[in-house]
Amino acid sequence: MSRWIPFIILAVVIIICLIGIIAAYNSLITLQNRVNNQSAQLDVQLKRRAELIPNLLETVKGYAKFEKSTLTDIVELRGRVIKAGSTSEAYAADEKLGRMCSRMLAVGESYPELKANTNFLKLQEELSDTENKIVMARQFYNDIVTKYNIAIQVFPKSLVAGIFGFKKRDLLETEKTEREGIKINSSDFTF
Amino acid sequence: MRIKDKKTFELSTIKKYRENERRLWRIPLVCLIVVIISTGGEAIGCLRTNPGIMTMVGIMIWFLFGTVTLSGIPYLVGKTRNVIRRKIAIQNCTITNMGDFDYYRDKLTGISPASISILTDLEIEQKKDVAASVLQYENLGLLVEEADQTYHVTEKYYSCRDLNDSDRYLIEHLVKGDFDWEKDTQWKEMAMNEAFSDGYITRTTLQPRIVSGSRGRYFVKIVLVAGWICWLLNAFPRILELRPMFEMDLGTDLGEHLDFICSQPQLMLGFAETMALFIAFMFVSLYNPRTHKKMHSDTKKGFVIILVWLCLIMIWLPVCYDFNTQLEEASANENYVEQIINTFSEPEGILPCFIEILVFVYTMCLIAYVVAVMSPAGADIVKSVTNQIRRTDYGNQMAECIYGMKNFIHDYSNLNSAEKQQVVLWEDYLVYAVVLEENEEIVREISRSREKNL
Repeated sequence: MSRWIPFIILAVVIIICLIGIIAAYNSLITLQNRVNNQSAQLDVQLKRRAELIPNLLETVKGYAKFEKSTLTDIVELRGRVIKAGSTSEAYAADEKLGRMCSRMLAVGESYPELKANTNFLKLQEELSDTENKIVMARQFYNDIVTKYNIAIQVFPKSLVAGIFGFKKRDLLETEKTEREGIKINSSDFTF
Repeated sequence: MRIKDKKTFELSTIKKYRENERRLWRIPLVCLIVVIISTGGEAIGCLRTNPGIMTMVGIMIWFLFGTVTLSGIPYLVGKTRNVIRRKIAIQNCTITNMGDFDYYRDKLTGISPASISILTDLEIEQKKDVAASVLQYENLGLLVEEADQTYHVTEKYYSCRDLNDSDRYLIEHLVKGDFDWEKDTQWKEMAMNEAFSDGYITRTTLQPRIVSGSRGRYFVKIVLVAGWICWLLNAFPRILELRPMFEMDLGTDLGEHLDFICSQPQLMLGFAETMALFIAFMFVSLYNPRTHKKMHSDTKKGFVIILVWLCLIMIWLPVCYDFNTQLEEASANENYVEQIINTFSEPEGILPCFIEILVFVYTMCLIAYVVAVMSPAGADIVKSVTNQIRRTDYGNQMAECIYGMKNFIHDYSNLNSAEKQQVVLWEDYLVYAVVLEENEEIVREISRSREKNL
């Protein structure tokens, strides 16, 4: 009987370790799925803004005259948001698109006829609403990524994360230009 | 997979009652220590004179018996109180699953923090809800906190037309600095009325007229007090008789005590009287004179339980008496502790001794049950039934969104560690985190500043 005792102890230790590994793996998978889910939520909002752009261009076109390069840039950025392969790519393109849109709306403010256009006002409201949702979605994304990154870096989950190949995810950070706010240049529009 | 038809907000109230229930195990533990200390010497003496496994078993059973006897009543009183309160809390925190979603991400527009709080557990927790409201006013730019922890309103407050009366009342009193965070009832009442008028909650069809009016409340109190007085008058002469017995050593008075209880059917009748009065009390306070039919299901269950207990008394009373007489004859001058322990050395004595222990424990449980139901727990049942409100269908839909929001904040954010100043970043989500008990630090922070101000 006594010669079995070490094996029994070993078996108990292995079972406890296995239970621990399974629990850690499951919690990491849960967090990873939440990160993916929030990433998808952010993508939805980014695409929603991109889809509003053609309407905005159509509305503004009849009233205000913009530099051709401005319009081309907006169309190009919109395409990059829609075709982006990852959330971070889409977000980087969307940041620039957001700035261009804000600039365009700010310019539109100086055209009284455009300012009175109901379609323009509605678009302005929708874009502002989407902008808020993007900001919130990004904050929640960053929070859940932080939770996930902490989980895969702290011991003993870091061991499980290493074995099963859980990779650290990047936070979405705001570009310096966005932090500085929107500057309207006279070159943005022609009279 | 079966879809759950109910969802329950796991709020701190429920957790608190669960925690209290877990702590109740300390009572038997303490009692066991007391029994070991007080009768351990006799037990060791028995073991010395009659060493053997059966004596050990006897000692263990004696310790168990002593522990149950001492801890039975306080444990059961505590348990009953907690279970009833927890059930009420769970009932208030439970919503019907209509949309079957776990997360809700959009802002809960048009609903105040107080209404959110009411929809979660049908109650207002003043300190937390006021803190959440203050945070929301600051987020909306209506209220500003100064460096000296006083508040002042902004121009926006005067132009804002979306505020409820309760909001204006709260803001004005916060600015004046005379809002009582603990005792103010007017704000609570106003917020509750707004939840009614917004269609989130409604009163249940069961509205006992007797209890709702002030006269009714007095009537119920009179019935309750009368019940206690009758019980005391009935029990007082016997309590006097019991007094010398209580002065004796624990080891020698148990047999006489048991003998006394079992040989005095009047004492049992006293309990029966108390229960009858309790039934009358419950009936008077809960019966709906408008419909003359409906009664709360808990009350019905309570009646059934009490009736079952009464039947059991009738069955057990002669049994108690018989066994006690036999035991008394068998052991006229022997120490009771030693007698119980030594009985286990003689197999033929085990059964009567075991039954006697059972009878005693049963009697203690019975007393505990009556005490527990009659005292605060009984009052809780009445309170919960008489003040009952419920969510409307619209309120239930909103509550489900709130439930989804709580899950979302809990699973997807670190708002539990967010600071008050971050309200500019998180806007309403931080307010929701505060009101849904996901962030308790902000409540403490706002309360602290209020205390300093006082």
